[in-house]
Amino acid sequence: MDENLFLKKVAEILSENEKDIKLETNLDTIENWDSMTILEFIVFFENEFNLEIKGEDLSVCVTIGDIHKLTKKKK
Amino acid sequence: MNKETFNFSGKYFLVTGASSGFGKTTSILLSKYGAKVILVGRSEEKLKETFNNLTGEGHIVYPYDLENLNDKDNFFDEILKKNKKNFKFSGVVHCAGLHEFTPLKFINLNKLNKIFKINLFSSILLTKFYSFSENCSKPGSIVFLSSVASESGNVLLSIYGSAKAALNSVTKSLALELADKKIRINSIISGHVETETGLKVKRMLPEKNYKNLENEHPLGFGKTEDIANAILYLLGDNSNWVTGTSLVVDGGFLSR
Repeated sequence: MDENLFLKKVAEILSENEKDIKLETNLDTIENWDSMTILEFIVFFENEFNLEIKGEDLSVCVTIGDIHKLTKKKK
Repeated sequence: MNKETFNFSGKYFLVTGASSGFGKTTSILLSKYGAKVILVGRSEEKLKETFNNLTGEGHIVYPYDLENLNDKDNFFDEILKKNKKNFKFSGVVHCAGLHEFTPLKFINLNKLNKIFKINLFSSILLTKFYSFSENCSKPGSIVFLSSVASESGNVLLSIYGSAKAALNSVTKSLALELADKKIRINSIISGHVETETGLKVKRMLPEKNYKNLENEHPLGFGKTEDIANAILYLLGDNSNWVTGTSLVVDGGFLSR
């Protein structure tokens, strides 16, 4: 998935300003990052991009970039 | 459960969602006890897989997407017409459903309509068609598939859970409305079973959360046979005095 589109969508899900979301952003620094958001991500990728991502894989991601790598692996 | 518990010889049952999960297991079990089964589902290929596992002859594969159900053509009469058959249905097992996780921010009218159409509206329409068709037996028995999500709050399941809660309510109201016609209406409130849908939940949840979900079922996760056995009870003569009930079959999930 295109990096810019990915970051835009991530910001949307996290209800964060697009400018604050970068690949190197640590997930621990994001206020809305919790188990609920993990589920939202899974549903989002499945519905919008037909990507089946495992909750287990998402839960070990440290940065936004790690999530992006997951979506690339699934491509 | 021993083989003498049920006898459905000479009876015809419509089973929706017959290509997998509860519908598939119920169809197989019904045929073992002598019933003829009319298998309804979207995929002809998968229905044929179920068909190949049935005991006896006279079963029918009827590929159909219940999203296309309209309120004009009587579904039961259409099946007989299209298959050039002449028999009376003795009951319905409505297993077709749509389980979708929907975060509030992704909810829109299309999603609401889609999930309610399969889980709720089709149940009401099938019951209407059954009650008005001369090709459907009175007495008869109709069983809906509900879920523990109808009785408990669940993250991302507000639409699915509310559709199933409405189904529990419909079960009671239609049971009263159709008691004069001797059509019994009941539903099963199922706990987590590792069907195709159940496995989707497994994939989505981190391992720890899935383990927690299992622990919330004091008897562990169920098998499709656990639900199918309860369905057969509600279809058969052993439950002749049971109507308007939502029977909880959940390994103790809702008792916590």
